[in-house]
Amino acid sequence: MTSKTIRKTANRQNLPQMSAEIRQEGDALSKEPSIKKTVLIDDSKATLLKHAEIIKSCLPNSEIVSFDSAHKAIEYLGDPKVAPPEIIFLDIVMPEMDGFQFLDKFVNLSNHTSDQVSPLILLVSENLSLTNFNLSIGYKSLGLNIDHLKKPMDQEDLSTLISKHFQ
Amino acid sequence: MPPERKTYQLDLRKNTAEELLPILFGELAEDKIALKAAISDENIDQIKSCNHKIRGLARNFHFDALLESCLKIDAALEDDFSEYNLNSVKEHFHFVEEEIKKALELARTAYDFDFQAERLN
Repeated sequence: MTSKTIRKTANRQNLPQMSAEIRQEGDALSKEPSIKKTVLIDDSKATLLKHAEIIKSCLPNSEIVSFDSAHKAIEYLGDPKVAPPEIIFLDIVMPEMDGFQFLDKFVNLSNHTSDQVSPLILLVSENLSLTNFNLSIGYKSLGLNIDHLKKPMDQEDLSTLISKHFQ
Repeated sequence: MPPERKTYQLDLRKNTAEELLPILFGELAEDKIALKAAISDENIDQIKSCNHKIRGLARNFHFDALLESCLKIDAALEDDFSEYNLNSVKEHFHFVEEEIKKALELARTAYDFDFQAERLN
């Protein structure tokens, strides 16, 4: 995500080449994904804090809204006054309402079923079992944009996924 | 000869550590107490649930030895829940307790971190 710095001294010979490099650099920066808001859902507050750190390092300009329960997240996302996020990081195994129960509720949210583009929903888990993989395909057929991110989350995997979906 | 125990990794920025470590070790303490109670009650679903939570934290924070002990509890619960398996769970739970204490010591040393650890003892 971060752009490389061009460190050269300009002179008559290299000025045209440097101008081209700077233009390319500017183009690359303008192509950085515009992710204004991310929502993070995990029942462990310690994990929420750690994941928020990793997300901040990849998306420094994105607002991160964290929830330690899927119920609270649904309440927030269902509020028509709240701007929808571009990415939702969703833990699968949680007490009371798990990740898939969250998705059941999410597909029925009125502000989601309107014209808005579905946010990218990243299922964050240690291993996506075959059952859960098949379930996630089912939700894709309902119009949800779903992918999978392996725990422990790391910056490289996250950057790759963001590039895949937003560039 | 006892198996070689793996070391820990805990790489946090200082200000993150100050906020995160009390929460992390508070959660580990609560989950450990809940796991102990579940083993005492021989409640297999509860054992699986508590073990899953500790395993998740171990994986996220790279406590490899703790993760290994949690995976052994999982393995012991894969088959029928016999007395033999329960003994195996108890044995690995002992390691879970030890590894949580070691992780806490590591955090205290690395980040000059103070945590009331009565619940972890």
